[in-house]
Amino acid sequence: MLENHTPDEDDKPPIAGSWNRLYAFVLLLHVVIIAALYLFTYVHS
Amino acid sequence: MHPLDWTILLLTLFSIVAYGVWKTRHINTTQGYLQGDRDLPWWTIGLSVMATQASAITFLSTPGQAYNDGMRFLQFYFGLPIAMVVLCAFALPLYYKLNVYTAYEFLERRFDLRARSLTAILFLIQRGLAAGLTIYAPSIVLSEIMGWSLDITILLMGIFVIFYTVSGGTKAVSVTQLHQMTIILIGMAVAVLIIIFRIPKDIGFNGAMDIAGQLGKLKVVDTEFSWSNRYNIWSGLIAGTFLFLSYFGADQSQVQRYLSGKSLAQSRMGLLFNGIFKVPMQFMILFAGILVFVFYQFNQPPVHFNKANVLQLEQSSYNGQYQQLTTQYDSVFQLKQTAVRNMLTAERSNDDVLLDTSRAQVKRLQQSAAGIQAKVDALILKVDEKAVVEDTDYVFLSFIMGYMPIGMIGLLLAIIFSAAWSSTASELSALATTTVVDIYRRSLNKNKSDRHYLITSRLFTVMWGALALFFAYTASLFENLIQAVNIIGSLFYGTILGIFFVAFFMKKIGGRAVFYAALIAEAIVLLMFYLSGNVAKVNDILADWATGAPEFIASICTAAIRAVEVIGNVSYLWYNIFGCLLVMGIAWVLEKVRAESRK
Repeated sequence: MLENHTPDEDDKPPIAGSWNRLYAFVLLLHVVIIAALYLFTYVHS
Repeated sequence: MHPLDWTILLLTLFSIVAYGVWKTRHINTTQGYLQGDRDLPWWTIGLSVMATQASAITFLSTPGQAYNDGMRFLQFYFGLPIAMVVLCAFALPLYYKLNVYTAYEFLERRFDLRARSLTAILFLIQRGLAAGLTIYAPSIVLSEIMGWSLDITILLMGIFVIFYTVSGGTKAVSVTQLHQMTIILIGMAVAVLIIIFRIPKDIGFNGAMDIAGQLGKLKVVDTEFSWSNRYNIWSGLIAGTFLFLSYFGADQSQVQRYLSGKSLAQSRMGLLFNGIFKVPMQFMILFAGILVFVFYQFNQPPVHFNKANVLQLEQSSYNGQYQQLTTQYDSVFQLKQTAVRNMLTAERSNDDVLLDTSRAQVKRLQQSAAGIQAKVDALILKVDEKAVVEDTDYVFLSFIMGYMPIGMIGLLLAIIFSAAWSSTASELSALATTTVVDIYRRSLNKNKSDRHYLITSRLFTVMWGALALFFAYTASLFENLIQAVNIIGSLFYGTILGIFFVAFFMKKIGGRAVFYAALIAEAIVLLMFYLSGNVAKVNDILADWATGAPEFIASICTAAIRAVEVIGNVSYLWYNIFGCLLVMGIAWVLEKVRAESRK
């Protein structure tokens, strides 16, 4: 990893409080979407 | 086309060009032209990133793909949200901190000029070819369905987008994409609603879902792993993540979009917006294709969707045979319609025996219809052996022209033009920026005035526009247009991504090692691609070599034949991972060897 690789602390996200929480939300939402699509496949097969 | 459709189409397109030119009339510095004024909010960035990726091919080809193959193509996008998060966490802060124009500038700071130039050149080759296809692909479909001249359609697709991109640079691209994407999303949503209302009343939306489900069209998630199966959840999540990391992190046409953000936070929000909405958007586009499929279970579809091929066939001596096949196809359609209704009745009354029988009958009739279509394809090839019989890309547009109400045709054609322009504009802007910043200003003509570089940037935009038009005029149609774009991307993205991975995560590796590793990896990926289309030919040569050769050589040839069969069957999506891992692995070995030789 590069040594000077540190995000700008002043750049807060407008929602969720921190970037890590927002990333977790996006990934969790993605898991929910895939699960919903799996269910969609199961119901219609 | 009705005058109202023409009015909607021309007004939409004119307003996009006029708005782009007017909004960027004050751009008079190189930074303003290549980076915008770095004042864009996250929603503009998010829509701009989506618009860059969603070309006209997306709207022409994807519904046709769902029509033929169901919804499993959606899995291709499963890696995208993961890639967005990784890029927001690692790449964006670095790009902002270094205040770069292009992603490749960062490589010189990390490695050396050679690594930067090589990566920039790989990007220029890949994107330059794709830009031609972005113009050509929708042009050929539009020209054949609308009966327009192909040359004029290509010119219309290319000339206006070159005009506003040259005029306003990257900011013109972003501001027009905001409007283009709004038109696209609203238009597609309205189209889906209209198709739903076109399905017979006694079938309804629920019936449509039942029919599509029974015929295997709603299988989105496939959990079975296979190297050769292009679309399963594993190739989407693993290979797709690598592809999108490369596309969004190292392809200047995307990097330039989010580097125009007002701040790091706005750029991150734009990418995350894309990560959240891309999969639902693709679902909607594929779903439009599924609804068209159900619609054609109750409305007679053409035996072949490409009108130009059919016209040629009707004017040939094979017309008699064609008419006979069409009559047979109509009869099969009538029987199939009854069988589909029986299947739905069985489904609604929970009659499993009738359901199995009627579904089997529908599938048999589908095979009969496919057999007739294959015969028509054979006739088309007899008339013109160079004709392209694959008609997937014509399904949706053919439906629009035949069944959409007045006004919607104009709007949907505006969507196709908007999508083509938005992708092409990003590509031209990125190609010009990379050429000027990474090659011209860095290596060929340093220390000139800002005005000189501004004029040069505009000239390079014109040059890449002209080259894209040239490629579009000389291109030949691939089996499937959207796949062609993805295949071209996959040939180069793995290597480019590998260079960036080494830069980010393998701190001890230097420029020399990564440079040679990238060259070797690219050669291997290109060899794999060659083998994928020439397994039989290459194995024949190897078998010839093995015949009569000493035992040792023969055993090597036998092993090579097995290897070629395995490698030749690897789906192109995996090239992204192989290319990336090869660069990382070879660079590590080369650096080790270098270190050992120094001891």
